[in-house]
Amino acid sequence: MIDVIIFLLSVGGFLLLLVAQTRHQRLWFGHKLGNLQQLLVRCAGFCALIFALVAAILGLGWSYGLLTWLGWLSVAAFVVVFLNLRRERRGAKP
Amino acid sequence: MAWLHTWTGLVPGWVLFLVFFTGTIAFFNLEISHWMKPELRVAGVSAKAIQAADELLRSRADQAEVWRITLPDDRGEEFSLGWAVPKGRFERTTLDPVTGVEVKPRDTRGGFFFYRFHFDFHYIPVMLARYIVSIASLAMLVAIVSGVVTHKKIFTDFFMLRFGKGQRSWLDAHNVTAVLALPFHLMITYTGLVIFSYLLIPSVIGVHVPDREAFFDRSYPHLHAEASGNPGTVMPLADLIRRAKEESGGEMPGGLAIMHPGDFASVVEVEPRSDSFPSARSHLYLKSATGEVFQRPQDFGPAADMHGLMVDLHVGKLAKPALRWLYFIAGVFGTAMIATGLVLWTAKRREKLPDPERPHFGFKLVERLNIGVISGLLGATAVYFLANRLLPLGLAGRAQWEIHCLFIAWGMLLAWSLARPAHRAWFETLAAGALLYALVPVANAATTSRGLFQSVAAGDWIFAAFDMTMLVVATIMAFGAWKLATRKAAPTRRRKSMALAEAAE
Repeated sequence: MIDVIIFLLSVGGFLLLLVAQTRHQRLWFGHKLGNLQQLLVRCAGFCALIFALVAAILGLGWSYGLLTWLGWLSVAAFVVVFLNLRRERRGAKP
Repeated sequence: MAWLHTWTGLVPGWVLFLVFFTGTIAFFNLEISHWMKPELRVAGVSAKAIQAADELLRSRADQAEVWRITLPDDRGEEFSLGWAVPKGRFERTTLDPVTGVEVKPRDTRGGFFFYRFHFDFHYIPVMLARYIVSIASLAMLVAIVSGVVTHKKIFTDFFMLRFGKGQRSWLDAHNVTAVLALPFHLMITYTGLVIFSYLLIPSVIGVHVPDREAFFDRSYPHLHAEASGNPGTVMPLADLIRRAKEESGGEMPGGLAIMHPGDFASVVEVEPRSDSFPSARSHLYLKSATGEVFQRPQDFGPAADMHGLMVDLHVGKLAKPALRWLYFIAGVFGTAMIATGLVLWTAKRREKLPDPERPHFGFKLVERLNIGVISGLLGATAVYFLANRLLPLGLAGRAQWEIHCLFIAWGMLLAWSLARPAHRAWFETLAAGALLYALVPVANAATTSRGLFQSVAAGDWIFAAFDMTMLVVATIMAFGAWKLATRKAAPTRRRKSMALAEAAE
């Protein structure tokens, strides 16, 4: 259960970080975000990753939680890469 | 820096592929061993079985220098007894954890083969292998650091993965597998080096400790109990286990080693369960006759603790199922990072070759080694599992023959890939590998009563997960082969665009 929470928070965090990058915004929103919006999205992204870490530490203890968090981060980032790839494929179709 | 990354990555690349591939598998070595001994079952050890173990040791091993009892956990470890008879021989037997009846599983090295292959290889002297692995790991660390430096756009390209763009796609795939699991790659490489620090910085030995023996005593402390020569007794096993549990905060021990049973000075070493974390650097010792504490776990200071922590991190025994899969997935990333890096080397150079039909020797060597090592080892590993199910049970030296089968298959795939044009060789070896992996669950279902459907129905998750993993690997390899088969149009398009670009200039 704790693993699901860490994973979902990490996916959410990385998705926000993804769309905080200018090059991906057109694909996801159709337009670029304003500077302030972009900053907020980026902060929210980092916050989600930190929440995931907090959840991991509270649920699993310092050392085991930290290790598990790093593991889920890698998997979550990979999931986001693939979501982006899918979106790109769909977007690329005429 | 790019130059450094290329060459520290390429030269030891194939060795690193072996090390990462087998290391990744070895995270599940106990589970694999269990799958490879379908005669055994996973269950909590019953009181009856402990009683049976007690009787067996007392009747059959009363002259032994040591009794070893492994208490299984839910990772599929067997309930095994071992005893060292004088003249250095070690005998072992396995009991059913419920009935306590002796069972004879098939002769196999199981998942332990991958664990040892990871740093000892096979057929070559162990020490030579360890030096090769250590030096390759050093290069790996250099490659990781120089790779981060070379990869200038680590943050902007963080999520970049584009398919169907030739060399660029290989670079993206290499970057993504490297960057997303970077904490793991750094951790596993560095801690691996720490484990072999006694080989790499031998001068440490001699400054702080007199010799290698003393170094190991300090790093992996054990009590050396001497026999007194006077007769003594050993408490019933069930009572010893109860005492061990009481003294370790209610934790069931992972195993017991009873030294000099029958001697007055006999002591029991209590091994904690493998998933305890941080793992105990020093163990608890009880007196065999009374169960009183003989020596509590000792503190060896922060350096030993740090060393222990690094070993724990590397071998991942601490990991419960979720984290174990994360270790495995990160290991797959690492293996894929090395494979894509190796392929990238050829992808980058293919277009610049003076005559693409007749590449120079260095290029051909790298190209062929890539196919033979990456695709070849993948396929050969499936043969190891198939051999486990298909070799006759009574075959002499069966465990070794399973391993020979792996290497024979690997040699054949290597020869096959040398005999064929490169892109055909990739396609054919991947397709063959996919078929071999798909056959593993079939062979399992045909030769045991624990096929995929039965194991899912029975909630036998080690077997179910193993078979499903085989199917996933088969699917991925088939997908790779299919991609290669349907890729034909790509090179011409690339050449056309290059021609267009040249024309534009």
